[in-house]
Amino acid sequence: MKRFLLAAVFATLWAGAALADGAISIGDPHVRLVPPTAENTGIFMVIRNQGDKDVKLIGADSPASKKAELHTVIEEGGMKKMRPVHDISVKAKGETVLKPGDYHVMLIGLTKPLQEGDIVPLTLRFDDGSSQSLQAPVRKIQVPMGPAAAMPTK
Amino acid sequence: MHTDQRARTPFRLSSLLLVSVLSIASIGLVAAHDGTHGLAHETGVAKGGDFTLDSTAGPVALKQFRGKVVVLYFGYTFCPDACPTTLSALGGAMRSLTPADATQIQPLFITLDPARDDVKRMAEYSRFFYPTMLGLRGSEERLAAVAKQYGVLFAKQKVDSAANYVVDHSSFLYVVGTDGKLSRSVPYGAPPLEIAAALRAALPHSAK
Repeated sequence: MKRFLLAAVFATLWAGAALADGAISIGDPHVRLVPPTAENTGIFMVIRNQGDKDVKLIGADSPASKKAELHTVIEEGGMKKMRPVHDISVKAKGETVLKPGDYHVMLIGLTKPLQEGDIVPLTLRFDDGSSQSLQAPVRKIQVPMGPAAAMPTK
Repeated sequence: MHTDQRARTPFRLSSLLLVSVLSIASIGLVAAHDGTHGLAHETGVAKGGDFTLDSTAGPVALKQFRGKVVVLYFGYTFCPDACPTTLSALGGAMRSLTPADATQIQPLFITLDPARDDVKRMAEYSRFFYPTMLGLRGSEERLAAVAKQYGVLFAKQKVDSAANYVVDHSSFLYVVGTDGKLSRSVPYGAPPLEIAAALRAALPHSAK
């Protein structure tokens, strides 16, 4: 835990430095709380690009798992299919949302079970050579209770 | 595809036919290679029915829950997306019911990935979403048979990832009535209150 906290402190410092550039910013990063036996989990966020050029997220690293990969979920032939992707693009002056049922950073092989409220350090690498380091809190899965008659949208 | 005159010559026609036949044949091969199971769902012949699978407490038979409503979900613990989302929604639905109704409903989570999910992992994973949810496992053959009964589509898929392979799967909740018959399925993305309504509808004595 100590190492986690230390990493989180550094992550904050790095994030501050990276934000000074201003082009890319990350909103609401969070890790999905999964059962203690689960080996993987997803990280979701909004990636905003205030720059004039399109950028691509090309990789991610986290000390919380053996590997961090970029994934998406496609719906095909009546099935949910999770697939690794090479990159996730963010248009100039645009944003890309990483969310359940869609793009996400997948942590594979969690080094230890995550608890609600833990902070997971994450570094994102972009194709313009920049990187963003951030800390993503672990959050319980929030499913809106929804009206009983509502048709699912996602 | 071809709008020019030459496309209408017999030669072109026959090669087009040949291409079509080959395409259909290769689709067949790909499907066979994929090992896609349970096409019953698409053809609408999912019948449901009894099964016996393994849990940490020994064999669990659907039959032992006669008189209760059973809600089934098929997935795998390696799944970071559809499975936790749906099981969270199911947990939310169960918690929204009156305690009396909730005790009349048995949620079951059945793995489609017996190679990685043992009964212990299934039990702990299931309990996380709702305390009485049971996690079940069986041999690949038995699981394929149960999935087919319920019209569940699934296919093990090798991917270029540290995950090694994923299991593509359809994502419905199946509600089995107190008589053991498949009463209805609830699609992926249904909010907890909609799932709760489907569960209550299957309970004979619930205040609807």
